[in-house]
Amino acid sequence: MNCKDFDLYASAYIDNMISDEEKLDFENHINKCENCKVAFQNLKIIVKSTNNIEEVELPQNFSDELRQKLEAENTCKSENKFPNKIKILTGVVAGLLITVMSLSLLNNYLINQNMDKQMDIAKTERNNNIKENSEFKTESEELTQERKVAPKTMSIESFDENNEAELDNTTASEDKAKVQGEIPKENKIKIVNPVITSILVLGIGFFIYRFLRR
Amino acid sequence: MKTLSLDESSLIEKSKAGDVESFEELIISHKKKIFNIAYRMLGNLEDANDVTQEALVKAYRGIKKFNEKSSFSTWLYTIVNNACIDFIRKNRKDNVVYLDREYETEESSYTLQINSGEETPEQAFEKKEVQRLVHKAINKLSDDHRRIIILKDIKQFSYKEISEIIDCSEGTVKSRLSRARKNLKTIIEENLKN
Repeated sequence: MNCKDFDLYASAYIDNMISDEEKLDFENHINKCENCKVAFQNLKIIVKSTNNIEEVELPQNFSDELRQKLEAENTCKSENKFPNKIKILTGVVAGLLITVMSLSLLNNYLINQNMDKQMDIAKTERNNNIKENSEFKTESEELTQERKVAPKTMSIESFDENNEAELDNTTASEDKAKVQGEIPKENKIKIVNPVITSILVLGIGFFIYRFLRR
Repeated sequence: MKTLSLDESSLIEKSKAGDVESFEELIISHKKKIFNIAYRMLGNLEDANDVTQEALVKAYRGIKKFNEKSSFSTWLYTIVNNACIDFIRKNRKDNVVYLDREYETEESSYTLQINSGEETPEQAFEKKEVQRLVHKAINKLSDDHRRIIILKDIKQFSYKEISEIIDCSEGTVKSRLSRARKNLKTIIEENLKN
């Protein structure tokens, strides 16, 4: 060995963590090299002084303080068991709520779309009905005019028919009014429903978040 | 390190079930050593007290995860070692000048244990002076070097135990220890010159 290896050899030599061969090598070197010999003597003194550093005593209230902390840890554990279950439960409930909400949102959207289609169909059908009815009306008017000329016995029948036609007319106009009145109503539902649901979802999400943070 | 004795394993089992007294018995032979490691690592008694308490509570909390195939003391000292390193890292941000920590004076509520059996007051004073010098020099070492000096030269752990505690190879322990001792020697020599 040479002086460069001194530190590693000297340290391991002190701890007896060196092979016999290395030990002999090291001893030979320090017998020849005065610098390394002095350095080794100093290192030994320092290691010995460090070994002899006396222990400090534990603070007087150390054990009491520790016991309090350990017991607090125990009570914490038992208290935590319950809230943990609640947390998991609220988590599950929140997840379910959000799924249900989003599903209903999607459902509403699909229903609205379907209703639109149905309404379009209904509208065209009703328009056709109205047209048919008005055609029927003119036909019945013509009929009554014709029947005015007919004998009196027929007038009762024509009166009945007339009444029926009038009734048909009123129902047709009612239908028309219904169709006109329903369109804005349906539109309102379509706009308001997703907004309300999303606000609800956000609100519930916020409350769950606050609850969990607490 | 010795394998788990029957007593130790039954105490560990009880501690796992949440028995504070069993845990206290389990650590009774270690707590002073732990406190001293923390004291040498952190350089002052108050921090050492906080960190030791914290490490022991952490150990109590984590004892359920303790694998009984390994040694309890190594496991415990690893927790303490990590707690010290964490504390140093946290506090380094606030206080960069950690090298100048002074030796605790006898005025503090803590007292040094002195074996004054056969020593004259002069000898005791001289011994204290040497200790003061070494303590000061240890505090000037880097964290890694200080830790290894504390574990090997103050607490007399074996190379194998140290390698387990600080999670490295025995070869690393050997070379790091040699560098740490060299640095310690240099610091002390410089202090003596001044």
